[in-house]
Amino acid sequence: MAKIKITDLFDRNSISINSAPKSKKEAIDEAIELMARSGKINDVEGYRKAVYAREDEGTTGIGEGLAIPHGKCSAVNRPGLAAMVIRNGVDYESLDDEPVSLLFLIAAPDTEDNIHLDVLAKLSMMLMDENFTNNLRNAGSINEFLQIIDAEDAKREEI
Amino acid sequence: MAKKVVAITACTTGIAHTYMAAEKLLKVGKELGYEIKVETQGASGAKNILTAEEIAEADGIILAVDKGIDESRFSGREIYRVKAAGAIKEPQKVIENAVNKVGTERLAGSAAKGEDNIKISNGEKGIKGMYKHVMAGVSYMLPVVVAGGILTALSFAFGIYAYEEEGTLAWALHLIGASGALGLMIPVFSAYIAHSIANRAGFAAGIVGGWVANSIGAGFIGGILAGFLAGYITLLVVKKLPMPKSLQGVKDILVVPILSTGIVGLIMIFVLGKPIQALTVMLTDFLASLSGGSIVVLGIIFGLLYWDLGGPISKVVYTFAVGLLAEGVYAPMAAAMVCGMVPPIGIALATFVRPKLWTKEQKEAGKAALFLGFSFITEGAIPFAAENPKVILPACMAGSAVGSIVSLVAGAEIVAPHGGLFLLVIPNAVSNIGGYLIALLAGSIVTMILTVLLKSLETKK
Repeated sequence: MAKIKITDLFDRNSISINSAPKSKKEAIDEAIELMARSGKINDVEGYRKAVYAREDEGTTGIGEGLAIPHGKCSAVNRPGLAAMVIRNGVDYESLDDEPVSLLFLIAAPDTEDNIHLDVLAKLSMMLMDENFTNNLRNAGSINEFLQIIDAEDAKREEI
Repeated sequence: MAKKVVAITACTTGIAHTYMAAEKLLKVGKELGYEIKVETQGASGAKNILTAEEIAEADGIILAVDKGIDESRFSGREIYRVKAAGAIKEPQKVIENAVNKVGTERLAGSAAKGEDNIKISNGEKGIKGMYKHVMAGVSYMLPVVVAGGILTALSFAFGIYAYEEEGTLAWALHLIGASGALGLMIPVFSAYIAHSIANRAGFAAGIVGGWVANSIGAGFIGGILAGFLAGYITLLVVKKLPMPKSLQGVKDILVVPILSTGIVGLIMIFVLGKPIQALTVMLTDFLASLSGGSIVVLGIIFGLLYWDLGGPISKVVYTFAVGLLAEGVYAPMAAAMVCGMVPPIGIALATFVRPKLWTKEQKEAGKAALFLGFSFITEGAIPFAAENPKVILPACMAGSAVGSIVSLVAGAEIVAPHGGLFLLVIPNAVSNIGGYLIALLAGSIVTMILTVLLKSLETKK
């Protein structure tokens, strides 16, 4: 069985390396639109509700310009990722009150599909590396964005 | 030496913050020169599970959790509580506060003695470790036995054959109690022995192995065997089977459960099942050869064969007695029923007369055991026997032997294959009721005295 890469969970249509939302709500809604393009969501409103419900529990703007909104619910068919680079940043009510410039939206189905969840977990861990996130912010194209993730993904393998 | 820090991270969805917090704590902890280990309790289950030893040695304990988790492992310890997001934001402060005991809280209970510590102490070696694994299994099995036994007994209250009529309350109670709970008791027992040895990875092989043990009629001893096999085979597969790290996920969800469960099941069926079958045939022939001989000898044999408390050997006695019912021979049934009722009653009496010898849990189990004994549900004795076979098994064998001799000598007869004391209210089910009750009492008292005696001797040592 082939190993699942983090980028396997990305649909090319779900990445925007140049977004300019004006508010947290706009940012999340745009990310949800990106995610919906992948066809992995069977009920966009249901998924939106899950994402906002998670946000209400506490901001997913975890500081240092990074936000990871996520929703795990039955409106999701298959695990997916969407990403946005926000060049000028957006206020996201983050833990450190700094604007968010990199956003990953996670969609997880309501199953205990461990393999994919482990892949998502790995991405979460990688995002704690500032060099990695800064490289992503500076990616010039969607290809480059995905390559950076692949490279880091492979590097972690060896640990 | 570097100070040691352990942490658990868990967020509500279990897909992002759990791991971000873990990564931050690991990274910053190492930078600060600590030896740090983080257990993640995410949506795909717990990873990097902290061992009892690691918790015991930790200088600082961090619980970065946004949901309720089992905290019993940390009983009596100073823990630092924080939101998962807080650990991501200020990992350095969190770690230092945990180590320096700033803003920490002490959890109730005594350190490293909580019962749940048992189940994670997979580092234990030798007899003591094995005993702990069995005890872990017993503690989970006990409520199942009590629920199953009592509900089954309640179904008899409607009449001993009432449960045979589908759709009735008696039928439902019997289904829940006898088929459900008592059917699950051995699987639960094996599952938690295996869980104690190999954590969650051992559970599948344990519960399935236990079920197989049950279905091949291997009784609680088969259950113990299945539990240990499952635990150690799982550990072996987890530790020794070489797999590239990239396939770790596949190994955890596919390879380990399939291999461990398959191997344990096959061993139970082919290695253990066949001899049990052969033994059953041999003993049945042996019992048949005894009929017509001395009833005292038959009584003793009955009692001795009942040593496994409803396991494969006692089943031979029981089946033998039930078989004779069809031929109109009723005395062996009375004797077999005494054999099955004496162990739980005798042990229950022992917990009543010498409460000091028993734990609080055992005293409670004792009360249930009395009722189970009255209902001819031998399983009531199993939690006690599994914990301390050296005391309980001989005491029960002696009591059952004495009881069955008295029953045979008194000429007590029973025409139904189950029911225990419930039979007394049914006209003509038991003949020579007085003799039967005296047999029960005599056997139970012998078991009680021997249990108290052997256990006191053991405690003094």
